[in-house]
Amino acid sequence: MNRGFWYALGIVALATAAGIASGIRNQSGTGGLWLEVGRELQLLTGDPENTERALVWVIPRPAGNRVTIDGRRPADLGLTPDSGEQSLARPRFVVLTLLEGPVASASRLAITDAGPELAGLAERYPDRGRYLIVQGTIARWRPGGREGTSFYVWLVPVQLHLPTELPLGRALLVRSGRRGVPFIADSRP
Amino acid sequence: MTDTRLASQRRADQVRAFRAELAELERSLGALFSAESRAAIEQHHAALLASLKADYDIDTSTAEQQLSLAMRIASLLGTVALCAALFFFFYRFWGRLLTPAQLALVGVAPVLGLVLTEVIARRERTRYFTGLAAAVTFAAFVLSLSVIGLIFNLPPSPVAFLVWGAFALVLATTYDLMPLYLAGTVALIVGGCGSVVALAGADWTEFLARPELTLAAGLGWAALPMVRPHRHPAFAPVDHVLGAALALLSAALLGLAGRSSLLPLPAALVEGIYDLLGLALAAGGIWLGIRRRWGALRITCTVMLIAMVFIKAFDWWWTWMPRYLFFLVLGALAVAVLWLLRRTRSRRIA
Repeated sequence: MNRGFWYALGIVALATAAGIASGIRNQSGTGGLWLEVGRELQLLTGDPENTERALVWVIPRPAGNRVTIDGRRPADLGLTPDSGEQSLARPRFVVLTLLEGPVASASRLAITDAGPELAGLAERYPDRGRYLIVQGTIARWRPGGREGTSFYVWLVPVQLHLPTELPLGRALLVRSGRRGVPFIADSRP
Repeated sequence: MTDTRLASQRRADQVRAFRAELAELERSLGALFSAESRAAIEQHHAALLASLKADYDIDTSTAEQQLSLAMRIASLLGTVALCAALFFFFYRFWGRLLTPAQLALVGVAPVLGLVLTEVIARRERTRYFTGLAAAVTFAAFVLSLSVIGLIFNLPPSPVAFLVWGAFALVLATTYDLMPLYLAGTVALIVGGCGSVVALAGADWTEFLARPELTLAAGLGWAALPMVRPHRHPAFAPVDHVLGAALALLSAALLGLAGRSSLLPLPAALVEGIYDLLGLALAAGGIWLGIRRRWGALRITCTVMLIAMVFIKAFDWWWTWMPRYLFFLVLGALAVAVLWLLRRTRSRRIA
């Protein structure tokens, strides 16, 4: 076997091990939100070419991708001035809140806060049964050069993988891991 | 094709050209060599061609060259089809497997592909089947990291592109495979630009909206063979084509949309700066290509220069000129360039 073969094998082994270790390391923690399928999570179905079971968030956003975060200005989220109408998107942590008492069938999830530090947000929102702090990207919006009051927010990744071991119940327990990466930890019929 | 194989093919082509020219000359001037000398030359060439064919499996006739071309096309189509088959096969069935089985499958697939590539490479002098196996191995590795990311919901990362790029380059240089060198280069540029943006604190995919980074990366990649001679000279044209095309395309984009620049200047000024820079870079690339005899760089810069001139002409004149006048101006421009080149050529000949 030549040297290149061993280098290639080394890259495969290291990258695969690092990827799996990173994923497993993230998937720890307690609490989490019980979200209803069809209400806060939507199952992606209908593609016979892909048998993966994946779900997307259902978060009401009246203004498209933009959301208003009460009391938060761009500087609070570490979004620096930018000449464009939409600034550079920056990776941030987003607080998802499970609201109480809205219309029966509507999603109860809302984006209520964001920040650059996971630890700071975890301290501010300690209730693991009500808040979920996950990775996302945020860009500020400046309509016509003026400072807007809302932000563009995307959750990363956009869809959640449902492991084959878990049945697709009526409600799924979504936890946020050590790095703020969400994962489905349990299922309830 | 390896560098040695390329040199052998060139030598064989030279022999074929010599034979053809000698036949033409003898048809016009009569016999030029004695029968003994002619037999000695024939014998020497026959032995040389037989040895080159045995060692490097080169083409010694036009028919063989055409067959080789057909094999290259079949190999390319086969590679694309097999990679697609691998992706679709996995996605079609992976939902029926438990997570450990999914991980085991995507972990083992590239390793099996690597072993297969090595086995084939040892038995094959040409690289058709080796290239096919290596490309499928690369696809399996891309699939592997992508699926691990999906299983654990990991956010997309530029590091994955750096890893894929490194893997493709190792395969390309080990087995002399130009398509994988190209794929690896693209992956490294994506990963490198993405990593720079991520280190600056922005989302890594934002590099797509900021062409200055790709401009710098393209220039750097095109200049690589100048800084350090390529260990695989056959791959140098890939660096030139990819680097120059990326840099000039980025300059053209900035010339059209100055708002996407990182420079804190008014958009119109930025567009003017990058228009001039793009034209200067393209002209410089053509000059360098002619001077150093880098055909790929010369051709790429020429094509890009023409494209940039047409894009700018469209941007400036399309909306306010009648269509017939727009195309008339373009035609006049082309005639002017032709006239200029003809004069230059005549002067050089004189």
